Amino acid sequence: MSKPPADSAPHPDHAPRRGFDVDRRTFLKTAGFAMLAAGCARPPVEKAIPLLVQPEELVPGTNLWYASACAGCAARCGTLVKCRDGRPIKLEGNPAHPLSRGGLCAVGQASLLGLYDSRRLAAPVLRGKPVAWPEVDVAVGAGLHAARRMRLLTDTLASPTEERAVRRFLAAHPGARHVVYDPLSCSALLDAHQQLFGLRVLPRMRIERATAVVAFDADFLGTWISPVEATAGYAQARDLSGTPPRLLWHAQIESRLSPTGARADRRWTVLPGEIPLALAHLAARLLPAAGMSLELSGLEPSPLPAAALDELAARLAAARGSSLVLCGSNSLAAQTLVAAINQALGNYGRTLDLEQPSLQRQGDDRALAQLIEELERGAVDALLVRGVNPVYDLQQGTSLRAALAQVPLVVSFAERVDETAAAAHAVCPEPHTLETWRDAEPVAGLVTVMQPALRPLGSTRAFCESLAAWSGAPRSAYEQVRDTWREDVLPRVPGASDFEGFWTAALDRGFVEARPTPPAPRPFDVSQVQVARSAERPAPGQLALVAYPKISQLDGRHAHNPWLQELPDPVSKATWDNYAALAPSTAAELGLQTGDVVRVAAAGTPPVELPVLVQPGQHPRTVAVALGYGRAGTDRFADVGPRWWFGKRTVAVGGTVGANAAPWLRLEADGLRYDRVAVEIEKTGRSRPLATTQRYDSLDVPAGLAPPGGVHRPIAQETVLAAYRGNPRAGAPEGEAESGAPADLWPAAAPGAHRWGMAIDLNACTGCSACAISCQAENNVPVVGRDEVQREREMHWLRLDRYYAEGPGGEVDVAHQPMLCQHCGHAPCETVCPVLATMHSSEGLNQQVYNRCVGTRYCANNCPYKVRRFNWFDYPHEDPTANLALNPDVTVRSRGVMEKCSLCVQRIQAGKIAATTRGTPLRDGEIKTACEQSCPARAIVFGDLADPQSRIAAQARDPRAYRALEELGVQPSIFYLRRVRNRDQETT
Amino acid sequence: MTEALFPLQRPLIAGDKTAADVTRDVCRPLEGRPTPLWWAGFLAAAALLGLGVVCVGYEVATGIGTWGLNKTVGWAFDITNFVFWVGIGHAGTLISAVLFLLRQRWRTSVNRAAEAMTLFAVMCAALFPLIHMGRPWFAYWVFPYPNTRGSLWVNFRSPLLWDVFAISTYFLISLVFWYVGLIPDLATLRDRSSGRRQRLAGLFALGWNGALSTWNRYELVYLLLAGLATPLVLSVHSIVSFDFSTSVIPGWHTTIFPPYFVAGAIFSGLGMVLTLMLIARKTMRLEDYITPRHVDVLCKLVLATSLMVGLAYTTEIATALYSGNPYEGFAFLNRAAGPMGWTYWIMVGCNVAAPQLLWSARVRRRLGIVFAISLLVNVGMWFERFVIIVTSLHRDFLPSSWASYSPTPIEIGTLLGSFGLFFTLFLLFCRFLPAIAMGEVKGVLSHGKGDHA
Repeated sequence: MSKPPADSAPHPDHAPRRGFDVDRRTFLKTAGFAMLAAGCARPPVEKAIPLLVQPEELVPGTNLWYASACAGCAARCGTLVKCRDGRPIKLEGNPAHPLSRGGLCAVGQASLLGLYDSRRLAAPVLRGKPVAWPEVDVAVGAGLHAARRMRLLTDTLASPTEERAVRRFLAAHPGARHVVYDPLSCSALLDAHQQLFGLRVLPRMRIERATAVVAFDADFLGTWISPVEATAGYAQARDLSGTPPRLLWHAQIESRLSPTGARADRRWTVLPGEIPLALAHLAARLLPAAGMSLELSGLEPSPLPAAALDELAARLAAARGSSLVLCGSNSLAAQTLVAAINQALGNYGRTLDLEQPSLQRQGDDRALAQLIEELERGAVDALLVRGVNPVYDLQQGTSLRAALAQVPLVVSFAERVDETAAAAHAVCPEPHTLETWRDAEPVAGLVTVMQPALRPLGSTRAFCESLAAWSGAPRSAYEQVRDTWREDVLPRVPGASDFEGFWTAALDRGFVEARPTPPAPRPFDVSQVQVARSAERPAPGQLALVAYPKISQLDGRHAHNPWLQELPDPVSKATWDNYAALAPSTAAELGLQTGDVVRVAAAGTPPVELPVLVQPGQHPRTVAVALGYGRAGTDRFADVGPRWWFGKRTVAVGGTVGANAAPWLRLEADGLRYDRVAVEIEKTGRSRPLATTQRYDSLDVPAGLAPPGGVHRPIAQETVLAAYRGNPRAGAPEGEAESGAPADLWPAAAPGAHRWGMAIDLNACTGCSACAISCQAENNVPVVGRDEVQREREMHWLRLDRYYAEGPGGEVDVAHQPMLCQHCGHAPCETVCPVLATMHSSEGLNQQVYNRCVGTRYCANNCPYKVRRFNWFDYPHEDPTANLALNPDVTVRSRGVMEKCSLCVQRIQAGKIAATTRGTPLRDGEIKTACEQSCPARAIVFGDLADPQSRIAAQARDPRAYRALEELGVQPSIFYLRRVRNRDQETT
Repeated sequence: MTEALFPLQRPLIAGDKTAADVTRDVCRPLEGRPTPLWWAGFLAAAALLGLGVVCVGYEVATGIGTWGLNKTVGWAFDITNFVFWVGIGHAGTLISAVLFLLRQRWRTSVNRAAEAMTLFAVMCAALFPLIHMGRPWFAYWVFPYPNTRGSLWVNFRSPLLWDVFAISTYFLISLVFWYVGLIPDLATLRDRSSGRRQRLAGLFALGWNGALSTWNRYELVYLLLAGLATPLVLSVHSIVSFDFSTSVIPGWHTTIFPPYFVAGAIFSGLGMVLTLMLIARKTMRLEDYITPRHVDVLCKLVLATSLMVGLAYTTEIATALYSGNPYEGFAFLNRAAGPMGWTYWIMVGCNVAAPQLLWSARVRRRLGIVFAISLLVNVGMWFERFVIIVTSLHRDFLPSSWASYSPTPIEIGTLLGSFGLFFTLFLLFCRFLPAIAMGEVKGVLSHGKGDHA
């Protein structure tokens, strides 16, 4: 084409085009076509191809259950793993398992989500780079070969197979030593039994046999040793509806308000350093009567009032042989005194079992101290770390990191690059418990097999496999477990001979009962009892610090689990943070309020800034801080929850959730101590509001706002034993009609085949929150993040309301009440929905139809129980891999719709279908809701109120039964059974 | 002469206007170029509207979470604004229909604007039930229409559904009433203009020819429509109040609500009429049509309704405390002395205390003070709805769920946006349609009446 003449304008079509110089028509044509093309584009073809060879027993859409054991903590409760289409979607307690008896705690329930954590290592790491296993084996093998002084540092194994693998490994590597420590140590308790009975074991607590329990700083229902087992036993010992009715007397002496203390009938607060002295005073009252000679003179005055000591001594003496004194303190003096008291009370052999002791804690803090000393001296050539995170969870963490740099070979088995693994040369990630073969012997003679439920998601290798590979005899975990069971377990089981039959039965049942291995204890040696004659107290102006494990976080091993991060603490109701808990009087004295940031400084550690939480029931001269926070990598939660213009991040990018309290621990000669005698608190003037799920803490309305006679709201009702004996209905609000239905404007619903209902025994509920996580896992309840919780928008369908009241002696009384949709017969939510999105079923369920909901929130406003939850945003999983944990039986709700407890309608339907298929009527108890199933205390009973023979119908007839806000005429289907405190008189 | 004969009939329109004067005065703002004051007002209103569009758009795109609501307080600004705007709409019907039936001829100067105000207020109100939904794209599900879902109907027991009917009926009747009243004036516009404007006005004037028979039929239709609209003054806000009174929440569950809400609605509507009239009078030079006498009458109505509202507040507290229901008693004590007590005292101060000044004739003549009071009434009535909704919800039965509430900037922007929408529409109305009913005003002129007497 010729160039146009210079004087004439170029024709538009021939004009030179530069860059994005498009004329209007072309632009519109292109834009229109592009929009059309985008709108019409077909999604990529995805073919769902059925399996060519259908795996045996695998029916799509049906559940497969595997018996296994939980590895959420060292307690190793028996579990049943629910698998759907090849992926585990729920963990439940194994009802046949003697420890858990069907219950499973919040941590155990939530450990499922850990399986689907995409940030777990998918391959071993060698010097910071992901590599293949042979490469690691060569490098580690060379390092181990060169190492003369090798140390294997693990947590309590309590696993026959792993112990065997460790023995073989140590045998293959002369100069190697195995050091066991527990971040939540019971070393002093073990040492006490070593000294007094010649056995380094934990006596198994048989709380179900007790009639009086006195616990000194032992959170046995929450976090101490084996809480699910303890809770089950505790509930059994306090079962007022059982035959015969029982009500264990429980006293708690502690520094902070623990969930266990919240259940106590009597409670006193002491400083952590006063506990050994208090025990000495108690021993002085109990030991002489039992004829035990122990020099108990010259004691400092008792930190407990004399009346308290008298009451404790009297109660314990009256319950000789069925009493139990527990102590969570890691002081040898305290533990030997406790053992002496228990011995004097004749509790060994009854409520304390040494024949079948607990193996759930085996850590030896003195060995740990020695190892640290060796490390600091540079006297270790190779260190293998498994199951513990010493850089994080020890006071010496920072210096330890420097010491580890001097060790020629450090190998970590962590599932992610944690604080210790970051200092390791090689990280050999272990698979999640649900991905591998393992076994456990949590209690001598109770051997549990832990079987995998799916193939490992990454290229991981079990601990015992790695050890075997490095011992020169590689063997798979499956083979190792079978070898152990064939050679070590089978001979211990009476009557078993055929291994394959024995093995199949064990897999089916999950566990076997074998002869316990530990030898018999030697007679009690009273001369070994140490007596504390004085207390450790902070100087004036200082406070004692208590670092404690909390139900959701324990020692921090689950810090990457968003369910647990968002689980409200059973007592403080705070989420997503740890904090400095202060007694109200102390906070007032220091001019502090909940949310004010303080600097906590102790000698020898850098100060830490924490928000304050004012905690009733705490000793005024203490500050309590939860362990398990400040974990590296928790800034992953920066993106949890909705992102919007005014939304705040859950955690700052590069920050951590909470702050680590481990620097305040001290490794004393007799064990790891979780308290500091003296710390200083300094105001910073800044504030950081805590994300708590409950903002008002009492059933008494504020004094100035109470109408005459309307101060107390009888929602979580309770009474005392003395009143209950006289009148089983004691505790009901005055003037409540004993009989006769109130006038009713609505026509009665036609009776259906069933009328589902639930009863919750407030006397059994410990507030442990297992039900809340179970519900979350079962019903795909989203995690919303810190900012949303702070905006009071948490999504939990089942919450645990916690109320404080004034108790005897000025102590605080705590009431817990699980609150969920009450499935009202005349539901206020149902009448107000304009589009019929919430309906009543013919079986008494209040149903929410997500598809139909337009989101007016009128139903939630009109709900007297405020149990409805609205999807304010879309709440996707922060980790998309976690979508694999979704329960396919339950719809995932979109933004803009209301949701709430459905009484696990999917389980009801499944149960009804199973009964129909079977051709026989539903059996009572056949359908269990998720919360009921997981409750370690068996506090929840679900069933058919229309069946007069059912457990629920019996509970509804119980004189203790009442329904919350029954006077509104909404006819709730949830019954609560009044709590009865084991006291002689009302305090109010 | 006139004054001697009819001492009680002071002229309603000042300035001894002739019919031609009226036409000229009323049409002037429509035919000239808009004044700078109009432009300033319009741009300000449009800017607010723009802010509202951004806020609503963001809320619909992102989620209701962009508002400050929570698990306990499910409604706050949204339904407060809704009830507030519905209430504003009430004065229009009262002035146009009820006062028409009562032969209150002074209404002619203000009825057109009041009716327009009603329409725009109802539009603003209708916006909120729509956008407060979690899934507003399914808002049509609240209408009972034949469908293929089974056929799935709406819940006729739900007061929200009653709202849908009440508001849509009210809007339709108000629209028809306003439009029928406009027909003679549209014909005037048609006759005075040319081109497209003439064709448009002519289309909507429905061939009005000003014949006696036309006037006759027109008056009859107008009377009938007034009769139809009158019950709505009572029904709409009664039904809106059912949203609360049929619930179980203490502070909502109150039988006094229907009359209380109707009185409050008229009160707030009159407040808004006063506000708008005083602005229009000044900015559009209509001092001769909206005279101090009109203001005086409106002030007396404001005072009367203020007393009714005050009575309701007192009754409510007395009933709550007398009932012996601890939840009810607490709800009202908490309302006045709880953490959100300041909102209650704003409400009482603005709605009960401030209007008491209007007992004084001197105050009623000081238009500046009247304007200030009218603004306070608007503020107070907004807070009344906020108090009823939020302070009842935030602390209901279970103390574990007690929560607080504070609005997000998105919510505040949405409220401002609704004012933007209202004023944008109102200013456009003033610009394009006669703000005073010429046909009716001409009927109450005093010009020439003296000669016949």
